[in-house]
Amino acid sequence: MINKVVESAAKAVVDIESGAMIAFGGFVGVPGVPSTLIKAIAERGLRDLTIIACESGRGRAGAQSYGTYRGDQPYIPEPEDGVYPVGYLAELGQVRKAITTFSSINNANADGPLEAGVRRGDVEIELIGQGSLCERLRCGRAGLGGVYTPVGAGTKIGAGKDIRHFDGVPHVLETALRPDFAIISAYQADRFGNLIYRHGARTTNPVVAGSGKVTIVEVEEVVDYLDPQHIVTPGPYVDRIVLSDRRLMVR
Amino acid sequence: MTSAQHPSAPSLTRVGIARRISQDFREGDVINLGVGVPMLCSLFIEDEDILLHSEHGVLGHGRQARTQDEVDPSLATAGRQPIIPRPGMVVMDHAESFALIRGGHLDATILGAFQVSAQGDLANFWLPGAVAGAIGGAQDLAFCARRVVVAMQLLPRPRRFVNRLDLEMTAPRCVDRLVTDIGVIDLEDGTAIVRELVPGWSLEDAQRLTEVELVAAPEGIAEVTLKSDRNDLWTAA
Repeated sequence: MINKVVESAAKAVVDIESGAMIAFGGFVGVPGVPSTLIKAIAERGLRDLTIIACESGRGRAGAQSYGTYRGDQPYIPEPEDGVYPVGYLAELGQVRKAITTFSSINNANADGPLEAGVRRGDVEIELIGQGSLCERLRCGRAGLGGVYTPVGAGTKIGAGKDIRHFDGVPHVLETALRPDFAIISAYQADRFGNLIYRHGARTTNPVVAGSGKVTIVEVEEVVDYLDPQHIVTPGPYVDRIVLSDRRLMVR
Repeated sequence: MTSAQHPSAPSLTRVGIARRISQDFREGDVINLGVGVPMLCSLFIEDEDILLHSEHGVLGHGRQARTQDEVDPSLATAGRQPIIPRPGMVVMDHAESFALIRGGHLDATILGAFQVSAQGDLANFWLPGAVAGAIGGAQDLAFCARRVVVAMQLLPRPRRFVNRLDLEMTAPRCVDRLVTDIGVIDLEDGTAIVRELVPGWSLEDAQRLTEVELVAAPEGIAEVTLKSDRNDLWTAA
């Protein structure tokens, strides 16, 4: 009987080694960060990781400043103390390279963990826009070599990349990403690894799912049955399922 | 900033700039709001069928949550404001959301900027002296939305609207309109056309705030009018 449920986060990430390339789902500031798995990976004390994530500019020390932009808002909940962002791995010195859309905390007076690493000389950053990052991961999952996008042509982001013109418009070749591991979060799974997501917590998780040679998901619940018409991520993309630690969960 | 700024006329606050921008929205528009002043535009959208797009994958959400009871922890804008659902709302993953953007299905994106050039070049992801950047979805939006509107405060910020960018460019020739604290400027083929000015401001007053040559609109310069009686739209004169 197929059953992809693993008993603990620590067991689910036990074969991630130093030097691995890992893609993470989630988008800091909004729900859907695989916080339980990030904490478990951090506890392995790895080195020289290449991380791929939408946002990795902030470490745990910066957790309280997520989304502190208040503008004219009547109510913004504080982030839960338990949240472990991808940038936590950089904060611990476990990251050698980041492929990401937010590598900075965009503060002229302070550095985030990746910025500090670049200044020390031991971290490399490949900055890329969100749409292009998603397509590179989607290509990885879908077995494509890459994709031409108009986005980035003529800018620092497109510099050095192959350019082709389509209908007279320059397009940049963005090559597929095929990480060793894909780490994501979802709302519910069944034992086959079929997944559904809650609202905005869907975010990059279905894109990252299946991009890695091994995909590990943390979920709020494992259920017996999911409506096939509502499943977002099909089970074959998913290898291991663990329950989220509710204390660490950003829904 | 020079001491030559207008001595007595009021200007638009951040909320006032957002009010003016939102007055350009039309029913059925699909609009992405960037972080900062652009997100304040959502304060002025209540029941109209304007589909607000948040690039992490929510389209057509309702207003911001006002009380803790209304907060669903899994439903927020990309800027983390909790929002409420409404009929017609869609959630999707990032790849779908950016297909919507890149495929030209957004009527407009409203963005903040560090700098904009007279040609409409946009810089908004790499601070001077930084070793890393924060580009997020801005590059896809700036390249591919049908219309790019920048919210910009000209008054306290020197070197924001410039002839040539000093900073790393997000996208070339993409900005269609600047909505500023002193008026509305359209960028057409490298020409900065002043369409509206805040009452009390002259073209000469505005010109002192930028090195870019400003040209009066052929039909004349209208006064900025704001359709709201909120008391936080204007600075004191």
